[in-house]
Amino acid sequence: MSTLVGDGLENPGNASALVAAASMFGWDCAFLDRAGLGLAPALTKDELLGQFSPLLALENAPGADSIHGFTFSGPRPALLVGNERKGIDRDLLQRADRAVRIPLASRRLDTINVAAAAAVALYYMTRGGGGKLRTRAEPNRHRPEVLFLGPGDAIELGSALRSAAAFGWGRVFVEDRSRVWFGTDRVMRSLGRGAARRSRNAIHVLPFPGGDRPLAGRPVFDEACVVTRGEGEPLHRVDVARGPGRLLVIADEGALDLAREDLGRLARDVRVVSLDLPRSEFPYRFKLTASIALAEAGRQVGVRLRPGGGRARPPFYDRALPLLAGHADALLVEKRGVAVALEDLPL
Amino acid sequence: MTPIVLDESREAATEALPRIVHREPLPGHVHAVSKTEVEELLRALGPTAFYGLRIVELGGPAPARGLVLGRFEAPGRIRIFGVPPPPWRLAALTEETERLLGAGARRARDEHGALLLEWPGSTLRDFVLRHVLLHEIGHHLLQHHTGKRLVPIARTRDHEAFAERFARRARERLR
Repeated sequence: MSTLVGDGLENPGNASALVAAASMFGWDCAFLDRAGLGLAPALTKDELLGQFSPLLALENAPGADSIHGFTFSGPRPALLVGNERKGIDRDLLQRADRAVRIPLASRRLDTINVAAAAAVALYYMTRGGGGKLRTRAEPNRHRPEVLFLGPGDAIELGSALRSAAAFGWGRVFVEDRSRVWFGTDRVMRSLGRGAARRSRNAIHVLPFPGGDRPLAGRPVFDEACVVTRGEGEPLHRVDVARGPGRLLVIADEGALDLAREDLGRLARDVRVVSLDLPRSEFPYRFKLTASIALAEAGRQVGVRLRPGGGRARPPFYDRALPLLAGHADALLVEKRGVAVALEDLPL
Repeated sequence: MTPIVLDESREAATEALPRIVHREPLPGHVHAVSKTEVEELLRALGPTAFYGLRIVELGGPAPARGLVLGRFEAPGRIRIFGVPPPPWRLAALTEETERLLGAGARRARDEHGALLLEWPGSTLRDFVLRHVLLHEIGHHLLQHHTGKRLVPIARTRDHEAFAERFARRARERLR
């Protein structure tokens, strides 16, 4: 049986999310419980090295293979993911058969949540690697806008925002009907921002009108691709990298019923696309499905060609209000002595 | 000797306005200017200012960094993005922002002490038309009249200075 192994996780929340990630793809999950959290089923290092083949390490290590196009074979594979801060144990990393990495587009944010990373890796590994990462002269011209629809948990949303920034998005919309991001209390705010790594994550989070504030007039976007864990066109066969006039909608299906949503308000044309997961029943986690969808969309958007290898970009000149030094957001407000970003204001 | 005259259709073409396209602004943003107002400004400037300009786009998705008001993209494309509805709340104004917003905006404080930038009456529209749009036309003129090359034809600093100088002169002329 294929097994996902967590090495020395410190956060029990990540351990349960890792179990959910394994369950999405019909894999087992086990732990090297170095922190004594009582995680089960537990493995020892010797059992891990003796029972599994091939042993694959998910780590951004030098020489690691890209997860895109990665294939493997073996009687009892194990995918090893590491500690939230330190990564995989150095000795285990050296003794692993192969190392794989998830290519990220951000220069400031070079990691994503450990369970989200595991889900993304399993998504590609169980599908035989998927397509290669695209290269383009100007990938951002193909990058669709992203809307997180009705997230129900601040930490899940925060991790999804972290993934969005890591896969290259500079801006996302959030329809925050559960009030987990905008105008929320201090505790919820800290949890969400912490999960999003807001200190390094400069992504702009914009409130999307909707819910009790319906969009006025006709929809803004030409086309929306709504990602679901259920039935639909497989995401990897749909071209979502069609520029900012297109909207990639990732709904929190744990908090809302997609079948009851009026999706026509989002765009003129709406397509429902599926993550095409091997199992239909699993413990749902928003950050996992969101990260998979963002990873696949990011693969289609691609990365810039090597310098000098592509067509030169015609010049453009922007007229902008410059960012305030030291802040990620363009517009800030001092509210009761605390710096608050525009996104936190009840607009 | 018969005087040489421009072909009528060609003469008319040189005076034809660029296409002005109205796109939906991003959610939570509004248009500061209308198609008619842009047309009126271009007509007031005359064909020498917009010759070679292919399209002026109002709205559409702005780049995801800072508050981008306008953009010139060679060759011949000006984009005027939507803006957040006033008043704008700001932590502080940098020197450059202060200079940029010198005309029109009124500064105030809200009940929490935040800096509110108010745009009374038509000041926001005037700012976008007479500062942002004219500045972008300045970029277009410099780029277009030096050979229509798809490479930057001046250092960015010089390009910006030229565009700003053009905008200032045009404002004085239109006054």
